[in-house]
Amino acid sequence: MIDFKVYTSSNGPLSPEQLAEMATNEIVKVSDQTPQPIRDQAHAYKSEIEKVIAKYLRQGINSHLKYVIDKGK
Amino acid sequence: MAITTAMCSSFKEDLLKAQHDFTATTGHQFKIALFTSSASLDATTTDYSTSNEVVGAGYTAGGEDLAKANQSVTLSGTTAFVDFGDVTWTSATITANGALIYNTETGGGSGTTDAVAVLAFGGDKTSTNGDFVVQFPSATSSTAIIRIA
Repeated sequence: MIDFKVYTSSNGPLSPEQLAEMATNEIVKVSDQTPQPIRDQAHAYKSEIEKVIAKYLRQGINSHLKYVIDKGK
Repeated sequence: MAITTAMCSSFKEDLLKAQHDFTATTGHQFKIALFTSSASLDATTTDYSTSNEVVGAGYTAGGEDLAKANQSVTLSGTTAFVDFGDVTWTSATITANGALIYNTETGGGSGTTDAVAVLAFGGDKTSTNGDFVVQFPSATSSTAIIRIA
């Protein structure tokens, strides 16, 4: 099976949440063969990682935007 | 008309004839092209063609290069696999239902169109003046985009 993902956006780049999901896809891979309880835990872990990455991406974007605006003053 | 995810049969044959080189940086130039739901692409596809290829702002016929520097060949246990870097069309207003990876330097030539793999998106995917990204799977012996076990 070829497992790939497609992400799209409208009127701008991908969102921090989409980018976080892409990052998490590379960090955590959960096999369909994994026993259900372990799979559930792995998915929960993946979800938490995704939230943390999205949080810091947003922080980085905001910080960068603030820096650019401050430089322009 | 339909697009079905598959490793192209002609690609398998070409591999045994040493026609494809996935070596990072020095290997052949592979490309990925996007197609509409009107296209018929599956394991029997042998070549890239402009028929039913996506048309729209931010997209050029023939698709995007898959960066040679980001492609790799790895052997893990008894499985060899190939990985590509993700590809992004920016500021794109397009709708695509699937994609075709093809080799533009098959056998060391140039301008070739030999099919490698078909990717079905499972429905139309649309970007509107935004990013259209194809993320390839993790480079492991059980998930990579091209694997020989």
